[in-house]
Amino acid sequence: MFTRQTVSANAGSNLRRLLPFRAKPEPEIVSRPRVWCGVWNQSNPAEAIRCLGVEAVWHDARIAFGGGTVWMDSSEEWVVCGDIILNNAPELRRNLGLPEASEGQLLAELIARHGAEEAGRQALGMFAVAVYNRRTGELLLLRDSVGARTLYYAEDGAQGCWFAARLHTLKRSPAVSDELSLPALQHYLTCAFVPGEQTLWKNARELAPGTVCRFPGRVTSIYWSLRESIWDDAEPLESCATRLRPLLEDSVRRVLPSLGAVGVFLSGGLDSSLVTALAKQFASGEVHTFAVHFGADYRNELEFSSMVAAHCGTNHHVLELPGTLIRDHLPESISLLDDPIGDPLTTPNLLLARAAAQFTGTILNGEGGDPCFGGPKNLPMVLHSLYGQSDSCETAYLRSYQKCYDDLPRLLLPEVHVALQKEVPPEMIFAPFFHAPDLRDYLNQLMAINVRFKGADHILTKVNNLSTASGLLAHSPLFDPRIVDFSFALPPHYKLTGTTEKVVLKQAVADLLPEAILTRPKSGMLVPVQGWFRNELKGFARAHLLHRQSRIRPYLNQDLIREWLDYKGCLFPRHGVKLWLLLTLELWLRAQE
Amino acid sequence: MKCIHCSTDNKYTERQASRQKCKACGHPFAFEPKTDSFQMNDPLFARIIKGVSADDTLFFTPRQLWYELNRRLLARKTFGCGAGVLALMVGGGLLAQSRHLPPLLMGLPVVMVGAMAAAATTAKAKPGKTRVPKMPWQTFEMTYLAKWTTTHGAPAKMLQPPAVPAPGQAVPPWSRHAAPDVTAYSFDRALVTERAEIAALLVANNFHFENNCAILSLDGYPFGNADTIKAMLARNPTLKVFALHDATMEGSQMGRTLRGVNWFPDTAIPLIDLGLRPRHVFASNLVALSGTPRTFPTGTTSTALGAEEIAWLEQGYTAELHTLRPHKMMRGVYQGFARAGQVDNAEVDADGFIIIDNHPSVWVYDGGADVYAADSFG
Repeated sequence: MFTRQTVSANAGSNLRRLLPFRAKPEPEIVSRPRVWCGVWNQSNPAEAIRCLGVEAVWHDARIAFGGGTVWMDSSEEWVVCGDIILNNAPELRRNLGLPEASEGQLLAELIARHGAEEAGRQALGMFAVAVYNRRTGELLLLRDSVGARTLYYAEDGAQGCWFAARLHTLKRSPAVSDELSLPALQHYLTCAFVPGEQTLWKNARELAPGTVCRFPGRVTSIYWSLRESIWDDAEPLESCATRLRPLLEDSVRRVLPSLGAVGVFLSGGLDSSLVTALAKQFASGEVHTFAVHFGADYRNELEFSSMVAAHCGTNHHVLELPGTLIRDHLPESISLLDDPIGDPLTTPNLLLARAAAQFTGTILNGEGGDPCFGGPKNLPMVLHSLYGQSDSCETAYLRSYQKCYDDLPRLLLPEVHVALQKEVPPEMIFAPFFHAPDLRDYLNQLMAINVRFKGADHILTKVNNLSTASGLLAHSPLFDPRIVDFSFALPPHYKLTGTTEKVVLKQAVADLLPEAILTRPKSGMLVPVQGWFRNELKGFARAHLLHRQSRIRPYLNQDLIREWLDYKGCLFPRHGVKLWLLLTLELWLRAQE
Repeated sequence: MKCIHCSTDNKYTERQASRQKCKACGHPFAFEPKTDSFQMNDPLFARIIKGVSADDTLFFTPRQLWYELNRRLLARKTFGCGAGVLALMVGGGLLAQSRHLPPLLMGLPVVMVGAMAAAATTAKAKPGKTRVPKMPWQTFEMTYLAKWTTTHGAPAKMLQPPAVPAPGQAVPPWSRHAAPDVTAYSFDRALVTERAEIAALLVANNFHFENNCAILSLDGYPFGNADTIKAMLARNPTLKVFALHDATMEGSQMGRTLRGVNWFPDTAIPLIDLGLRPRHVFASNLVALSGTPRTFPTGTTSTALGAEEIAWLEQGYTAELHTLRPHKMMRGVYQGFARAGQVDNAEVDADGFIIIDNHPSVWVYDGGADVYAADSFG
C-alpha cells in the first residue's frame, strides 16, 4: 500500500506527531549512551575502568571489560566484548554445531577454532570487538571488513591499552590528552572527515577496517583488503549483471528483520531505490520509506523518491526540514559524532532517523553504491591523468574533495603551518593505493580509496553514530564485503562507461525500477547549505565562529572565516560547505569539554 | 619608495646615493619613479601582481599582468575627475551650512557641476570612447617586465605561453599511466578556447578539475592528448560544448569552426557561446585594443552581434580574454555553465551557437548555486 504523508514545518500538529522532540535552543551536549569499553595491562583493571564511566562486567588481573556484554567460546579460553551483528548467524550455528549460540558466542568460537583473521573473513555483518585470551593474556582488537562498526584505542606509557567503541568514551581515559592532532585537523579541513587510523585527539587511534591488532606490541595484520581479481573483458554485461543480482538480493534479505516493519532512507537515486525495491520484495512486514526536503524555497528531487515509493508500494513519508530546525539541532547532532564529520547531511540524518524510529527499529540505506560501482566524482581524476600538471595523483585526489585544501595556506595560522612542516604531507595517506600491486586499474584505485576512507571513516561511521543515537539499527547492504569483492572483479567499464555510472548495477535491477530512475543523471542529495548561511544559519555561524573564545581560534584565521561569512574569498560558490565544515568543528570541540 | 623586501622607506636622495639599492637590506630597486615616464615604482608593481593573481593564489598570463597594470594607469585620477570631486566636497560643505538660504543657493549648483564633471570623466565605453592601454605591450614586456624579472625574479604565478608545435609536428601522447586505461570514460562538458595560452591558464588554475570539464584549444591543446580527449568526448551523447573566445571578428566565427568535421559536426551537441563580445566591453568598461579599421568578410557577420558591436569591430577595436583577471574569467565561465543548464528553448544563431546571455552582465558573478549535492543520504 502506498501512502504519502507530507509533514510541513508549518503544520505544527503534524510535525509534533512525527517529531516528538521539541526544537531546543542550544542543547550542545547530550547524554551519550553507554558503550562497551575496556582496559588491558593496567594494575587493578576493575578499578581503572571506572574512569571510562562504567563498572567492570568481567575482569581478571590483567583486563577489564565494561559497558557491554561479554561472551566466551566453548572452552572459555577466549573472552569477547563488543558490538556484534552477524548476518550469517544461522549458517555459522550450523557449521559450528552450536544451534543455541548467540552471535557473540559464535564469533568467540570462530576465533577459538580458526584464529581472529579467519573469523573476520567468515563472519558476515557488522562488528568491532576486543578479544582476550585468558591463557596467554594477549589482547586482540578486531573490526569488520568495511568499517560498519568502530573501535578506538590508546596506549599508555606503561604498555597498557585502553579501548572503546566510541571516541568520547575513550577520551575519558588517562591515555588520551586534550591535545589536538594537527595532521588530523589538516585532514579534516581537506576531506571533511578524519581519514585512516588517526583521530583528532593526538594519542587516540582508530582500528582500521578489516584488521586485527594484537597486544603486546601493537602488531597489526590485515585479513581483508581491497584487491582486484582477474576479470574477463569478454564477459557480456548481462552475464555480470546476472551474477550480481543474487548477491544484491541476499545482502538485503539478510538484514531484514524477521518480524515487524523495516524502513529505507529513500533519496530517489539508483542505490536507495534498488534497496527499497528488494526490501519490498523480501520483507515480511511493512516497508516504510523516508525522504526529506528543505522547504519550498529550495530545489528538491522528491518526484523521484515518490516515484519509487509508488512503484514499489511502500508507506512513504516525506519530511520537511526547514533551516531553523537544522540550526536548532546542529549542536546535538555534532555532539553524537566520534570524530567531526563536516557533511551537511549529519543533522538531516539525525532528524530523519528520529522520525523513522517511530515506525521501525531497522533502517536500510543505499550507501555503498557509489564507491563500489562508479560515480562521476571519479571523472576529475580522469581529467587529471590527461593533462600534464605537476600535481601528484595523491594531491589531486585530496583536491577533488573540494573542501579547504587550497585554502590551507590562508586558513591555518602561521604557527600551525610551521608545526605541520614536520609532519607527513596530508595527501600521502592515499599514496599506497596508487602504487598497490593489487590495484592496477586507475578507476579501481580510486574506488578502493573511496571504500576504505570515505566508506569507513565518513559514511558508515556517520550512519552508525546517528542511527544508534536514535535507537535504530541501520544497515548498508551495498557495503556487504561480498558485493565489494564482486565490484573489484568486474571489468572497470561495467562500472563507468562514458559518463554513465553503475552500468552493471543498473542492468542487474532493470526489472525492479522505473526507467526514469535508471536513466536519470546522478545528482547527489541536494542540500541548500549555501542558502542556509545567508539566512537561517547566518547569525548562529557568526556567533560561534567569530566568538572571542571560539575553540577554533587558536588554529584558524578569523579574517578568512569572516570573508567566507560575507560570501567572499572563494572562487566558486562553496562558502556554505566550508562554513558548515568549520561550524561542525567548532561545535564538536565545544561538545568535548 | 618602500623596499618590497624589508619595507624600509628610501628617499630619492638615498636611492641615488645607494645606486638604486635599499639602504637597509641592500636589495636593488627595479624602477625609479622620479625618472620613469609612468612613475612606476616597485611597491606598485608588486601590488599589481598581487591584484591579478588574487593574492598569489591564481596563475596568470603576462598579458593579464599587462592589462592589470594598464587598468591602474587608466584609473589614475584625471584633472576633470579631480576637479569634480573637489567641487563635490566644497558644495557639500556649503550645503552643510545651509540653514541660511544664500549658502544653499551657492552650494547646490557647485554640487551639480562637480557631479557632472566626475561623471563625464568616468563615462562608460561606447564606440569611439573605448579604453585602450596607456602602456604599449612592447614597452611593458621589453622594459618593465624585463626589469622586474631581472631584479626580483619572474612572478611565481606567471605562466609563459605553452609552446605550440609546428604544423605537422607529431607530439607523443602523454599519460600518467604506463597503460592508459582511462579512455573508456568521458566528461559532461568541454570548453574550447581559441588559443592554447588561455586553455593552459585554466588548466593551471585547475578549472577543468573543479568543474569536470575537458579543456581544448583550436590550435591543439593539450598537445599529444587532444585527439584522445576528443574521442572520449564522443562517448557522451549528452555532451555540452562551450566556446571561449576574444571579442574579435574571428572569435565571433568560432561556432562555425566548432561545427567543422574535426570538432563537433553533430548538431545534436549544443554549442554554447561564453566568449567575449563587444557588448561586454561596453557594459564593463573593459580595456580593449585599437587597430586598423576593417570590414567583416562577406557572409561572415555573426547574427549574434548587434549593429553597434559590428561597427565597433569594424572600427578596428578588439578585446582579448587577457583583459579579464583570472578569477573573473573563471567565474564567468562557471556562471555560463550554470546558466546553460537552466536554459530551455534557447535561441540558436546561424553559426550554431546557443546564446545564453540576454543581458550584458554574463561576466558579473552572482553568487552561484545555492545547493550542495551531498554524496550520501544514509
